[in-house]
Amino acid sequence: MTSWNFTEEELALLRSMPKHEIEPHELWLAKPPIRPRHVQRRVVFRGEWTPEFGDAEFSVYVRMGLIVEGDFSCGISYLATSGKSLILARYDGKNHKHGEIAYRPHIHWLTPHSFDEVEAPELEVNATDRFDTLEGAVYCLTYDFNLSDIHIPSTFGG
Amino acid sequence: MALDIDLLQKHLCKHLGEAVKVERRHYDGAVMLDTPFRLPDGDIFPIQLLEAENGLIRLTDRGFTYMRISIYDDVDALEAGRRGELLRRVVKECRVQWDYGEVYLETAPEKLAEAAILFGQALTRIWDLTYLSKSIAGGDMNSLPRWWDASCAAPSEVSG
Repeated sequence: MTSWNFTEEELALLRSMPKHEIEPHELWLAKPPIRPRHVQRRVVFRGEWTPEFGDAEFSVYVRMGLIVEGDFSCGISYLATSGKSLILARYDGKNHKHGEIAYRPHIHWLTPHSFDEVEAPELEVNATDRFDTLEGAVYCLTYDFNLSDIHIPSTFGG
Repeated sequence: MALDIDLLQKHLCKHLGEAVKVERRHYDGAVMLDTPFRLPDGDIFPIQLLEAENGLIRLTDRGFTYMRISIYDDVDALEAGRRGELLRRVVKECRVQWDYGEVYLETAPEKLAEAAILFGQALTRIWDLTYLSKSIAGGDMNSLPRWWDASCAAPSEVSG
């Protein structure tokens, strides 16, 4: 059983609280460094203070595959003071299937129903037409989670 | 109740056949092998088929598994220490190639079914390396869970 357990209201607060970048300008990293298959980037945000979560911190990741079109993912995790992190959402490209969602962009969302009897919370998944590229996915993530001051150029070397 | 072996065999062939198919990805024309092998979050491993030399077919994940692991774990540590030993063990036992984060396997067309099972097993076992805690990954092989002793029984016809 996971130790995480959030209500709909708490998850809504984690989504909506304004978040500001506190570790800016981390460079893209090529993985692996020799003959890289993807590039990755991580940026840390701090949410505005709330009684429920205090000075909550969040980690935003971005991954861009270098081989296949549509192979990308970005998402946001809540960083608990215990040192554990919990992925709140992932915005995936169209290079793979998810159940009946066939090669379409999709979003994995954490919901209160995600916490049942599992080691890692299961995320609910919806196909989407809101984005088709990594730039679009980062824009949607920024909008959905109220991120500001974001500096995540989506081209390698930015 | 006596098991009806013929009926079970019939159901098995029918549904296994329906669960695995070759299809063209609509947006880039890539030839994909659709299998039931999936990540814990329900995403299905995308397995692309490419022409290889000598009439063989290459099954490849195009770096998908490696990138997905990078979301949850430090991929630099994946090839180091005990975790690296386990990775090399999976690669050897499942007879796949680990090419700088891209996993592939080459096979004759008539052996595609066996290769698909072996390849899916390899991808899931590589993903499972993320379950190993840092303490286990840094420890000795005797401290590993017993299931790591279970090896893939690789059909000898599958090359690569």
